[in-house]
Amino acid sequence: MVKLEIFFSPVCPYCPQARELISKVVPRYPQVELVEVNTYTEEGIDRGMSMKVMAVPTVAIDDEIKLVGWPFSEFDLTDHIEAAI
Amino acid sequence: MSEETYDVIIIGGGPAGLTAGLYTSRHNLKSLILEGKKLGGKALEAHWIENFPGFPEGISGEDLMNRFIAQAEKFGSEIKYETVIGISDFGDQKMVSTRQGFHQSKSIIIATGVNRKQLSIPGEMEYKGRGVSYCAVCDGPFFKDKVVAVVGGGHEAVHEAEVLAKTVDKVYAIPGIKGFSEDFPEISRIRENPKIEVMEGVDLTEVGGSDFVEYIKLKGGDLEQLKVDGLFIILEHISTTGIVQEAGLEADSGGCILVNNDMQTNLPGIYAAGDCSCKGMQIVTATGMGAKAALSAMKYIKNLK
Repeated sequence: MVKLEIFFSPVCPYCPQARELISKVVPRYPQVELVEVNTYTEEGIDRGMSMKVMAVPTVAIDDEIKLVGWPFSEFDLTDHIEAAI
Repeated sequence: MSEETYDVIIIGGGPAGLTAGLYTSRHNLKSLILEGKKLGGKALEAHWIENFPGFPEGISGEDLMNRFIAQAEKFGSEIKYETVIGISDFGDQKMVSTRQGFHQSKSIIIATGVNRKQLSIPGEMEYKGRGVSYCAVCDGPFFKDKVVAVVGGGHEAVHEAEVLAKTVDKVYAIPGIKGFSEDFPEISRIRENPKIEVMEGVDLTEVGGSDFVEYIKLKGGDLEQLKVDGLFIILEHISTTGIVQEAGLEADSGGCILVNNDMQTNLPGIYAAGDCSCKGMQIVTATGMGAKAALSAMKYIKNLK
């Protein structure tokens, strides 16, 4: 199973768009588990810092940062997912 | 294309737009608020707001904006998440083009706010997301116990330096060679904050490091280089310049939409309110302008009938 993490913050103006795109794309890949990490929680920020995430939104696949910031396209996302599965 | 004609289309769902929507929908005008990003606008990023009347203890930007949204929706404002790409004025009819389609209305209130601006120095793009950030409240928690610089001379940059000082070890506040844009009370507060060092009379020339940001380069002062883990670029600009120009709306050289005291632009039935008109740049002034624009739009529509 491939783990895709989206690091987001509730105050980040671009995160809703990133999360919306991810929620549309990820269900097409049953091999991918989506984990949403809220960096406004203690656990979320610890997880982000352990991975050296420094901005939201950030997408990581199997503990490796793939996309930082917004915008990214559906193609960017599927490209990284398909390389990982 | 949408079949219905709205009385008012409000472009932007920040404090000015939501207030305009509250006023127009409460007066039974068919009102559509178009928001391309997230309702609440940049006010959502405000960690704590101490100067909005009615909240003597202060309120978070998110809580305040959620109240604005609830109030606008309560009276019937329709909200769509669409990014506006153009405005057309056909006299009594206006057309708003979005990435998703078109909407028509009798009047338009532009309340698009301001966006973040890049500094355009070497290293900025290379280290974006690796120490360079444009949102302290979004990315600040990643810099716990670290050293950061905040560049910008506006109210928001000062506010974000204060927010960051609660988390990080040290903040260098760099307003830029032109200094702070005006004398607001938070400046004296950041000067007294032991975690914040205000560096005036210097400009940033470069940000660099290895995998992540490690330093910034300066000119104009005694120090040529500062060791930092993060650089927060908090500069503001009008994001709708292209749309405004194409619509034939008058704006100044900075992109600020020109309006009269009724928030009326040079085109009848089209109004602008809030930060995009560069008046006030505060939530409370944006709400006042949103209300004023709504009242002007109501009067305009009434005269059409």
